[in-house]
Amino acid sequence: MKNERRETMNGEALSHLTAPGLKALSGQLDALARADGEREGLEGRVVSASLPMLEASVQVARPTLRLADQPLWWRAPLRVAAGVAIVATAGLTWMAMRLPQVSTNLKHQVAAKANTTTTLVADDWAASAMLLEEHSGAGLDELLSTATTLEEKLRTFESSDVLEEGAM
Amino acid sequence: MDDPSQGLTELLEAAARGDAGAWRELVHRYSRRVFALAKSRCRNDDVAEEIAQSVFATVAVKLGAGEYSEVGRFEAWLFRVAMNRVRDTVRKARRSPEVQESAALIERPERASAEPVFDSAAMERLRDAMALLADADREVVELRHHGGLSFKQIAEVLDEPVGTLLARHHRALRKLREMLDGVVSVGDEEKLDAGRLDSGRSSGS
Repeated sequence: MKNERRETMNGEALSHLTAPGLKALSGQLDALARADGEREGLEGRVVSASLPMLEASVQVARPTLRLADQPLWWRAPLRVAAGVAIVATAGLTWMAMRLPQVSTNLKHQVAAKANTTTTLVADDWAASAMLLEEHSGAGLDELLSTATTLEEKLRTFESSDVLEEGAM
Repeated sequence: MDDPSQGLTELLEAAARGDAGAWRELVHRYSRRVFALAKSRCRNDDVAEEIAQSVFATVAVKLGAGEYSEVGRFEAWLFRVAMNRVRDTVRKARRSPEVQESAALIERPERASAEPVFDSAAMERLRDAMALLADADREVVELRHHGGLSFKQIAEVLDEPVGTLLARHHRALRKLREMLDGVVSVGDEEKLDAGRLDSGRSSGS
């Protein structure tokens, strides 16, 4: 029977109504509802009125690319063309966005190389300076020792001269 | 009849994709109940069918546009749309007396097919008694019996606590019982006619 569920539901829901009169009345209301629901051809007319609206609504929610009055086969190339255009646009956009990044990377690489060269040159200078410092230090020490020796020689020489002059 | 909520999610998903078969099944499951609800208030087949068509058109548009997502409350949503449409019709009928005068909304319904335990005269008395109920009480009775909703679903439709609705339903049945038993003189044709007219004015029927 078409309205079995309604009866079952009412049976459950009306369990709080213990009075037999109210239970009977509930049954009468169900019968009235069944009678009120009878209408020849109702479903068909409701479907006829609402189905086109459902289809139109679905179509609006998912638009498709098409030309008016064009046969179906004509739509496929258009879709392909639209797809290619979208992919090309996306690709170009991606490239355009990527170029500054590539340029920046190159700049960073050049700067890094320059820094490396500068560091190497500086290292050379430091090494040279150290060598020079070492050599000059040794030279100065040698010179200093030579001077000391010379001073001693002179002092020796002067004293011998005095002796020689006194002897003369 | 199978439980209308069985496989409902799949049906709604298919209908939302524009599946005509799924939509027909939905209409098959619910159109009778929506029509019964509208007819109970309007007491006119044509007006009730117009309301039913309008309700399903609204639901179709919203479903197709993806404005409804199934969370197990389809019936409550459907009957809220239906109840709002019934109230709109009632309001319009109140504002335009010519509609009432045409008796389009208050004409006596056609006699129902033979009911073994509930003859058409008794049915008619019950309809008249229902017309004398307060709108709030009548809505609960109609959603419960004509709409076939659970009290939980009625609570969602009317946005009221279940306990309140149970009490209101019980009170409405007691009033109906009293009217039918003659505590309130439902046999008094003059009073009934006045009640029916009031119903026509107050409910647009």
